[in-house]
Amino acid sequence: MFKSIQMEERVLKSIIHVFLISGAITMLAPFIWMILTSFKTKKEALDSSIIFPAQWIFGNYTTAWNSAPFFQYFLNTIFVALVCTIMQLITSSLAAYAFSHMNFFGKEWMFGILMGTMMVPQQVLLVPNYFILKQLGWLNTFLALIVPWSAGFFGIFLLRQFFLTLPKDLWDAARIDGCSRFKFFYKILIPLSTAPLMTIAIFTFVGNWNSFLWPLFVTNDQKFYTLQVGLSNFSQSEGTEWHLLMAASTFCVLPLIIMFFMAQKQFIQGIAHTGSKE
Amino acid sequence: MGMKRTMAIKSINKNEYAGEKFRLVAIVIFLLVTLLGSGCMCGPKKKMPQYTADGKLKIVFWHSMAGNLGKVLNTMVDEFNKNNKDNIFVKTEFIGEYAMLNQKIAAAVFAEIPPHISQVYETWTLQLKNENAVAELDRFIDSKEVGIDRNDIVPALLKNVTIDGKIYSMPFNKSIPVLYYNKRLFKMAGLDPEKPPVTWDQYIEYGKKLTMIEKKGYFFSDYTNMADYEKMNGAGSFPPNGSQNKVIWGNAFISDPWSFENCIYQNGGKILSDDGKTALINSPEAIEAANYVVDKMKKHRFAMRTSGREHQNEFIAQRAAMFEGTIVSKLFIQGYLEFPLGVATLPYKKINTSVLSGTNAAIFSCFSEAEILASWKFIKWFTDTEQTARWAVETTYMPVRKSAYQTETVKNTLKKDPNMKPALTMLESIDFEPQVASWFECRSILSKATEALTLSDKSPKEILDAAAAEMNEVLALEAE
Repeated sequence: MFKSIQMEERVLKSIIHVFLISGAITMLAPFIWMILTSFKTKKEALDSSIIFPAQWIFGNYTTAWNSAPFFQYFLNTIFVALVCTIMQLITSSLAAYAFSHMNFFGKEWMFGILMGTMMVPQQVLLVPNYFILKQLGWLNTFLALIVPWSAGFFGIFLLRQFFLTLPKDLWDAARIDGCSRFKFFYKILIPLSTAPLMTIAIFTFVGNWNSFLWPLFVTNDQKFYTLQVGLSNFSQSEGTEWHLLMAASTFCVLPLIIMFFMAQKQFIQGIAHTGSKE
Repeated sequence: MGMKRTMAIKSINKNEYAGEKFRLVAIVIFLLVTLLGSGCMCGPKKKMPQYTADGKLKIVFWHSMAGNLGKVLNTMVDEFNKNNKDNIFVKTEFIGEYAMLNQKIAAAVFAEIPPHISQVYETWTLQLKNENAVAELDRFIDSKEVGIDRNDIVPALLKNVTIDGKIYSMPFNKSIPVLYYNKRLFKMAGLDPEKPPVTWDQYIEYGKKLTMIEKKGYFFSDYTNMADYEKMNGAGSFPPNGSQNKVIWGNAFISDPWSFENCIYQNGGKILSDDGKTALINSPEAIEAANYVVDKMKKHRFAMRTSGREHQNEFIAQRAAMFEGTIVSKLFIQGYLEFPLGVATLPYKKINTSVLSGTNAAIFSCFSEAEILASWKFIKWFTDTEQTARWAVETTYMPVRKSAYQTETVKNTLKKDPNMKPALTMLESIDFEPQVASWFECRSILSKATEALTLSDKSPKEILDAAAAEMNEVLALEAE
């Protein structure tokens, strides 16, 4: 009897593992393909029947790096992504705090309007946003890359929902002990919210790292371009240079992967910290 | 105990008060932002001409020429900047793909900050002209000081940029579709590599011969092999799967509305009626053209259906002997080849014609006369005989001027590279995609129909009847 339960568990576990492993493989396959392609000759890269390069060509990386001012693109991307992330964290946590812990005139419909902004696709906003930026005189500046992405409803919503799940007792206890609204926010609420804050940070950072359409749209100058715009250099109207594109993609995505592994630890810790008992 | 409680209540009251203050600050900030914002909104500043540090008039030119094409363009613009005597400095700005350029022009015109010059498709020009956003060019073309000889512009190109009798853009980069073929495989199949197929019938004949199956390390040509193969291995066994028997296909293709459009015109058909109100894609000529497209794959079975740019890749990997594509791909393909390449004009049925693709250059109208004139001077220079000839030999785009075909530049290039012949020979006949405002929607209907031709089991007539009906609806909406 005891043995059979153990057996059952083992079978169940191996079934789960089969699913997990196949999931992991499907997620990894594009990455592996990217890295393999980045070492191929240009002819091998075009041929879909060749999986492994006959010779590993490291030169693709230097060629790709030198074919556009990637160093400049890296600096731009890091700067824009970092500032956007910080701004996004500040604005969404403050707004979420107001929506979850304060009562003010028009709170409901204001929240409704903000929620509505989530339904509008980016393409629709392209022209109006462009017009606003032009009126502000911000086209062709870093402001155009940063300010429109400094606040977003996704972050507000996520944090508001999270703030609402925190026990009301915390609020009451703090207020009775004479804690000011703002002190409650940065002394109690923020330290408890590492997990959702990390989530927002990661989403914003990755989103900005990968943004392509927007930088191209609001700037005309190479000195503002981000990594994704640099990558588009390799695909021309007459064909794509896959070996170079994949080499460049590899070094563009590398910092992101490293950052993710570092953040992953924080991520799990953040979740562990929030466990408060009612 | 009681003391503590009152203190707590007091502090809450104090905090409520702080809340009041908070609200007040919020309102003040809100008002300030709106005021400042509206202050900035007070009408756009009047645009002033901009000058470079050394006092040259700055002209901004938006384009979509990436890679090699962009390099050629920039080199030529640099030369113009150095050598022109009118103190003009042209600054090129790469905007990304055509779709991006289209969106950005729309936004920039709306915000009243377009570039001086941009590449534009004919349908964009039509829209921009309706918004009075582009300058009319006839007055420059016919002027004594800065004019050009109208009769020297390739007539079909001139007709293509004419809207209601007036010209709003100049032909800039026009490309033709061509047939790429592998001369080595032609020899293997017993065909003369210097005689590419000229007619549809020849194309089918060649395609069958070029479809080869490997047996014991040798490739056997002649299309009868396919029948033999099926006799031995059962009906439907061709093409063989797996690595045992390698196959070289006669042709690799993608279902692309452009190639179907070519077939329609080559068969004497049309896409829309001349008044642009009725779809003619289900006319007998068009259906015959569709059958030709479908039969290559389904009946004669020498054409391999691919997607994206796989047809080009299969050709480079020598698994397909021929493919159709834009002449501009030549620059890209050349860098990859391990066999002698042949480039020819597309095989035709009744009319030796090609549907041209590519853009024109338009000047935006919201600038000072001096800037518009300077922009025109650049376009005039770029489309002059010598420059257009050079642009053509370096990019494979079609020369804009008749006289360009007689230049040494063109003649020398033809001597060096016979594959440039399709690009540098005056075409017998040229057609264009229809110029109606709703062409974008019509094209996507045609694109879906083209895809259905080779993918679905419905007959070409059924598919095209349905597509024509759908197109007519769109066109009727536009007429309203």
